[in-house]
Amino acid sequence: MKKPSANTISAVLAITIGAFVVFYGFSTYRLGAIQRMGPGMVPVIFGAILAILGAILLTTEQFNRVRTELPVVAWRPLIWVLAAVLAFALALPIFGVVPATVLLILISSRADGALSILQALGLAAVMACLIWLVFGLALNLPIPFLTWRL
Amino acid sequence: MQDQILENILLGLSVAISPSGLFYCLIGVVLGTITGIIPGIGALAAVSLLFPITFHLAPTEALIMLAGIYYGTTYGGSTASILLNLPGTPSSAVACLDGYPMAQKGRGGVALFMTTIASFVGGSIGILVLIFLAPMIISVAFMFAPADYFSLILLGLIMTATISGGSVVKALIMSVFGILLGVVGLDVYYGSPRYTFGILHLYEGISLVALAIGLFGIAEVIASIGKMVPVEMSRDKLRMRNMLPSREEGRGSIAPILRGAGIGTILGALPGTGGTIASYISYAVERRFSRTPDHFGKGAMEGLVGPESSNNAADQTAFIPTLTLGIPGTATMAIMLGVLMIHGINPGPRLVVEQPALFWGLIMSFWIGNLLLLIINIPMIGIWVRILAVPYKILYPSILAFVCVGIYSINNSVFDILVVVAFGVVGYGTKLLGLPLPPLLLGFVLGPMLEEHFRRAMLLSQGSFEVFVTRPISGAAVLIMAVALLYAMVRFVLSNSEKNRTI
Repeated sequence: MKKPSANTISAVLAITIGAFVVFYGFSTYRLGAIQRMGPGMVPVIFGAILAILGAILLTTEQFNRVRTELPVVAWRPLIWVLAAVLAFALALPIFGVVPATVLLILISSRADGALSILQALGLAAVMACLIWLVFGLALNLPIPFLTWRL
Repeated sequence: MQDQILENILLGLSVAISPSGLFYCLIGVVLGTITGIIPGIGALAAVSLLFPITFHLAPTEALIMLAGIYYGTTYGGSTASILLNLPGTPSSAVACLDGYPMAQKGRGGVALFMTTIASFVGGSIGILVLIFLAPMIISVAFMFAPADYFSLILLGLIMTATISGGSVVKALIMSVFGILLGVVGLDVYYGSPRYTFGILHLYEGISLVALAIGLFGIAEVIASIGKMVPVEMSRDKLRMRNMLPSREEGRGSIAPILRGAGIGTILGALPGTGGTIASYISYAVERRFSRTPDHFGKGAMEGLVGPESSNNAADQTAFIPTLTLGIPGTATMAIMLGVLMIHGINPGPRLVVEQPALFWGLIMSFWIGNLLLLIINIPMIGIWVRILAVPYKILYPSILAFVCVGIYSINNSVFDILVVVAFGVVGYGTKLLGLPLPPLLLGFVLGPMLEEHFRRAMLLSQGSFEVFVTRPISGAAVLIMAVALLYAMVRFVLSNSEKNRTI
């Protein structure tokens, strides 16, 4: 089996999302009449348009002999960056902004591994200070910089 | 009329020249220049990444600073284009064509000096048009009915999709996807939650800033890691003395700068087109006008100053539909509009009447900002370029840290950070699939307005679709949309049959 082209994947995604929006809208929200629309009307209309556009893309792709290949996914940066931001989001409510920032920089710097752990720690220290200067000192925001809440 | 304009200008100046106005304008243009120089970060990413800092300021100051960031990136972008052949922003890609060959010949200083002048002149002409045109549009805009607004918003979305150059169907898919994302939250009329799936945080809708930062900031970082090669700096010193152009070059640049400003002024104000398209068209025009077209691409001054003037003029006139009608024409303007609304300001004809100090202060700050860019750019170009020497391995963790703290600080909300992560994945995925992101953002911002005007128009017309054709403004917009879509279809069929024949 041939690998699906980028356009085929996009088209299938558009049809799926569009169909989901239409069915969910139909079953959950009131549509109302056209002169007095309920909450469901506009989303259902645009969900249908999305699915139709997806179908158009899928059809035209069948006649298109120049296939748009799917580029390789850069898994390493993707996973490390997302992990870093997630770790930031999880650590922040417990420890505060400064420890969360240190964690974010340590984890995200693994994405290309170009900084050594020691260098990453140094950068984390510099950024923690900078962030405190901008958001704490200059903007004077009521955000927790260093806490311990479990 | 003239008295009115003078009065407006003076009122605007009094706001823009106030110490706080000047201060935030300066910070804005400096930050804009810096982010503009960094490749991969265009105006869109710069404005969304730096928005959290401006959030905590008063509306007028926040807008002055954000606008400074926005047009500052255009200046910074051309610096990187000329000296290193790395377009810092898409709209400055044209500056590579003739600017970089000039730099290779050791005339980088002259190129930078002339682009700065061209940018300033182009920007100033755009601002002048803005000052005179905005009140006129506003006086007409008071007569607009919901049907007119609906058609104009739809026109903006469709023009963005058809003009962008790529696949129209893919661009339309992204705009509709954006509209659907904009639906999430409470219904405007009935207050019932829609597509929130029981998540309380989604009742107010998806945060525009979190969405934009995820799509443009995080996705860009992921895509750039490991791909950014350290740049080689030329050792040439940039001195004031070798920055000045010869007399013939100066005189020969006047016409291209003015033509560029004209093209940019018109294209900037139209929906769907912006600085990038303006600069490409200006380049093509200069080439046609030139008596020596074969010099283009080898360091022709006209090919550099025309487009630079053009994209800066477009940057300014892009504010016309955004501020007077509340309908942004480009994705970057959509962010600016979103920012206004977050600050509780609803752009549209009433804004000028109700908050003249904000409106005219903002416009005059554009001019002050352009003046500041002129002053800080010429002597400090050497410093700006050094930013490029900061390795990406240090830059990207720092950007991430700054962005995450920034987005959290807006609502003290961890949920917003999760939204950033989600749209980081979406943004990276769409990048891989070759789907354009700006239509998504435009759809997201315009979607709720589109729905509101649609429902109101249908209510007024008792469910008859005739209003969209019978009202002159709406009718004209519908006609243009039909032509644009038809043209796109014809182009698609022609190019496809051609492609298939050659294989």
